[in-house]
Amino acid sequence: MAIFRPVNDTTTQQQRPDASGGAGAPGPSFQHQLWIADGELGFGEAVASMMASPDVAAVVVVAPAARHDELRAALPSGALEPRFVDVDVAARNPARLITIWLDAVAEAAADADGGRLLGISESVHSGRTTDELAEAQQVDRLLSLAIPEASNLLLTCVYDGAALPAAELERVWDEQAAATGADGAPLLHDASLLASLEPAPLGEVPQQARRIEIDEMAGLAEVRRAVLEETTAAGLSDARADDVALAANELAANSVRHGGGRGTLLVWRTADAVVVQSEDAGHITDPLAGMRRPEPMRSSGRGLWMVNQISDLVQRRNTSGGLATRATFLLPLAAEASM
Amino acid sequence: MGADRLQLAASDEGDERVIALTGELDAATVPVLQSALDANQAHDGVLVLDLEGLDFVDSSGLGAIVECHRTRTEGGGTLALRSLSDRVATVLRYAGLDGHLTIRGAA
Repeated sequence: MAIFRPVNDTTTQQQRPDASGGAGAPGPSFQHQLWIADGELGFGEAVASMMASPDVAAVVVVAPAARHDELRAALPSGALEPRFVDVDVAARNPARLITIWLDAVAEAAADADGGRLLGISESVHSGRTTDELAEAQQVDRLLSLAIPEASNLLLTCVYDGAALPAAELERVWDEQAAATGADGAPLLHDASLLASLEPAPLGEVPQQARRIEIDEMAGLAEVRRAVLEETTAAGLSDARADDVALAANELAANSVRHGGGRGTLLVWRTADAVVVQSEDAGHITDPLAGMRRPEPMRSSGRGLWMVNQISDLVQRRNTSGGLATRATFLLPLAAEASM
Repeated sequence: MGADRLQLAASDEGDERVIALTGELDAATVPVLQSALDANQAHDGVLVLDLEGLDFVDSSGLGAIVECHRTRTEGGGTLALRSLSDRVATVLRYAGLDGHLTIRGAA
């Protein structure tokens, strides 16, 4: 059974694939729905049927590569040609999904002809680790906040019940129920609610993690030097090692700049990754920070964005002591095995 | 400490003012570049940053370059970058700045 649940639409209850945007809608406005399957997904057929609506002018599919093939196989001749994006490459770090969809919306607006942009997004999928799934699910919720109300995007976030861990699906159902107000209206577009749905706390920092205290920008060189020692020992390529050092540099600089003037940068190795983490007295005020492409001519506010672009996973949490931001870089073999 | 991690050398090539950067451009060393850019803002010809000797750049360093590019462009002038290493070009791309700055002889 596949159930469609509107996330930010308070008037329409859609129980089947439907790209019409709701009966009697005066003009295109952003709609976001979750497609939660607890049985056979039938991805290709279902998306092909959504695409058949005459309102649909363009289609973007951000999903694992296997889904691209499923949809291609199900499309009748003469159907629209979707733009396919491999979620495991472009949104390996789930935070990058926000900009992928904002860019798709901007592009569709540029050649708008009154039709709908149909968006299919499967970022919460069984190829991800538990930590990745938690971030991917948070980003799916944040899409409701990030996409402008006036856009013509009809976005469906897909959850494959047959393949996802049962606990994960359970959580999606529970949060959907919790996110519905007393009058049955969905509340997931509510910023304060989104903040309260912050994913579980970060896993423990291992004891052998190297700690570098930083209380002035002059300490950044030492942060980079220490991180490069770890990446060399871990066997990362030079280019990837430079990425890790850059990420650590940006996180530590943010601690000095926004985290009370000081912070701690931690770096450690796991069996399959190098991890860096900043801890400081900061606080997350904007859950979308670093997820939206900065204006090109802005002279600041680019650090966290770059960290999101180059990391395989970024996790930010308010903690009892302030703010922790963790960036994970997979070792080459691990990165290949999980794709 | 720290400031000596970035060295600047200015020279004139025709009516162009060239500032060559050597070392690491980060939030600690960016004031050095900032002062040099401010001091040369009035230069009438093209202002060129030669980045051949630059080993590292972070978002703060890029911010100073963007700021200078914007100020000069608004005043009808030009800031050009040249001799970017692969790494510096990569970081420009990470920052979403490729295509937004004037780069000469792109590798």
